[in-house]
Amino acid sequence: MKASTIRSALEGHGWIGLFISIPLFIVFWAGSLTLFYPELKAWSVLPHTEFRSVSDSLPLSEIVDTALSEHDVDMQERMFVVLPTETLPLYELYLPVKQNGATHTELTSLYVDPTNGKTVAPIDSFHLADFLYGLHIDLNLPMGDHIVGIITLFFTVVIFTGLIVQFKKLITHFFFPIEVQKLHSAISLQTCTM
Amino acid sequence: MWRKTLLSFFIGLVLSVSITLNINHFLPIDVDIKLLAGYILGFLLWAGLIAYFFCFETIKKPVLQCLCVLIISLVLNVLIKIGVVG
Repeated sequence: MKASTIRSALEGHGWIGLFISIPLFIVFWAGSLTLFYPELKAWSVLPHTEFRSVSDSLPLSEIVDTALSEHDVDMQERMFVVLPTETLPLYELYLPVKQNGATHTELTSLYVDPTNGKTVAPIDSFHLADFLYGLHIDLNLPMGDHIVGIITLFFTVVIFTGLIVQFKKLITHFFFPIEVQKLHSAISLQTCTM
Repeated sequence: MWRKTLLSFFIGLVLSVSITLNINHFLPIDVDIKLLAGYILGFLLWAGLIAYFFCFETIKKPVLQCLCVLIISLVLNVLIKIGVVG
C-alpha cells in the first residue's frame, strides 16, 4: 500500500475520532452502567420504603384488589404485574386507568408495598436508571437515535481506516512481542507524519 | 476535510443503497433474509465508501470513480425497475 494512502487514512482516522470520541464515550459509559439497571432502580426506590423480604408478601389477588379499589381501572384493557424479587421487593403494577370521564385510558405504573398493598410511589417518579438508559440509547437528545446511528457509522469508518493503516503489519506482526510492536508502530507513525 | 466528510457521506449513502438494491434483486433468498442482509451490507458498504474517500489526499479521484460506478448502478436500478432486466 502506498505511503500517501496510509497517511491519508491515518489523517481521516484522527479527524473522525476527534468528533465521535466524546459522544461515543458517553454512549459506552452509560451502556456499562445500564447493565445494572435493576440495581439502580432499586437503589433509588428502596430508601422510600422499609426493608421488606419477599417472603412477607401478601397474595397477588389481595394486592390487585386493593389497587383496583383505589383506581378507576378499565377492566377491558390489559394490565401487567411484576412480582417482587430479592433485588426489588415491591410489586410493580401497570394499570389502565380511565381518564377524561373514561373516553380513554392511560397506563399508570405503581410500586406497591407487598406487606400491606399500599402504593409506595408511581414508577415514573424515579428517573436515574431510565435517564442512564436513555443516555445509552439516544443521548437523551431530540433526534438522538439518528445522531447515535451516524456516530456508529463513523465509528465503523474509524475501524476500517485503522485496518487500512495497520493492514501491512496486521498478520505478520500479530505475534511479535509487545515491545517490538511498540517500536515498529512508533517508527511507522513517525514515517507517516514526516 | 469537511468537504471530504460531507461528500463521502452523501455519495456513500446513495451508492451503497443503489448497489445493495441491485445485489438484493439477484440474490435467490427469502425477502426477510434479504432485508436483514441488505441492511447490514448497505451499512458496511456505506462505511467502506467513506473510508475509501479518506484513503485519498484529494477528493477528485474518489468522487469521479464513485460517480462512474453510481451511474452504472443507477442505470441497472432503473432497468430492473422497468422490467428490462429480470
